[in-house]
Amino acid sequence: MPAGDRALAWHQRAYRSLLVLYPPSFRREWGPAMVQLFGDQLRHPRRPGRAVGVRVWLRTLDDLLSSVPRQQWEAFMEQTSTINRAVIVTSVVAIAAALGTGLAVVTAGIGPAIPLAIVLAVVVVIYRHQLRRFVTRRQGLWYRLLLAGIGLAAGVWLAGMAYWSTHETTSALFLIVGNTVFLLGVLLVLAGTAMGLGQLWRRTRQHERHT
Amino acid sequence: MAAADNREPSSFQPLPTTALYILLALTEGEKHGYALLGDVERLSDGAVKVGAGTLYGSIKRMLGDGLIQEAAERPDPRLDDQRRRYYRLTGLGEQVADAELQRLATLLQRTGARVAGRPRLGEA
Repeated sequence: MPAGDRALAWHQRAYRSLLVLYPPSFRREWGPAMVQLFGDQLRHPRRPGRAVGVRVWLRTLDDLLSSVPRQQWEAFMEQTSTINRAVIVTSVVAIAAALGTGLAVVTAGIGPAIPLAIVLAVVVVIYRHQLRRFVTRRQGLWYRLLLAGIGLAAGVWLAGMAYWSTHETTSALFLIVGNTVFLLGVLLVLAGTAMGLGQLWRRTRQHERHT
Repeated sequence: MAAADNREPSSFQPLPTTALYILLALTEGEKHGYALLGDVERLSDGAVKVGAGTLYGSIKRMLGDGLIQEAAERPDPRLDDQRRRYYRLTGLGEQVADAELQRLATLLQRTGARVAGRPRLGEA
């Protein structure tokens, strides 16, 4: 193999290894054509010169920076159904609401607690009335954990509000029990979300294998 | 691609820059990826330089939208690499290219005189 061909093969191997950054479905469909086009740029440069390789690599790296995130995003949007996206968004909101409410309980800040309670209520309503009909029995555990966690965190917050409205000081026992139950609620929310996302990830992998 | 065929050309507007240049390049005939890469650069006077990822990402979307299609016939293997994939415009693609050029022409008509009459930076 002549030195020029060897160098070209090396460049193409290096570029092919970078294609791992793209989503598998895109790589399978367009990878060979992309490697060929990359090779064409080196074999038949439009502006011949000594720094052809450098120019092609600079353009390629610039292209990777812009096209990889776009293709990953498009693949995510194609592979996840509307309901899965709703689960992700709601889970993120649920975690943020639970953590924010916890902060409000610990610091006894009434101000942030009210909007957070509203967010929490909205999340519960969405889960109960919108997502429930899409959730099968097999998927149900993560969903029940998430709901239980939100319920616990909301219950602790309401109890705390009721307690502080009638007592001037907070007993150590109330703080320990309240914080423990709240922490349990947060852990349930996190566990439920992790299981839900794990299920989504497995389903996406199965989808990729079949396409 | 029945769903794409039912779409109005105006529903694609404004067309992404790379997609417009690809459509314009394909009005000259069937082309493969490397030829399109060069044509995008030539038609834009070097202002738009795309790489393989951007080009095939655009081609994938345009195939999905029914603006272009892969050509079934391959050139003579003695004249070209058989592995190359060739693309051509569809009827919808032609309509979309015309509509986008019309939109740009209208824009130029409305603003061109104003831009031309404006003093440039550094002029009194």
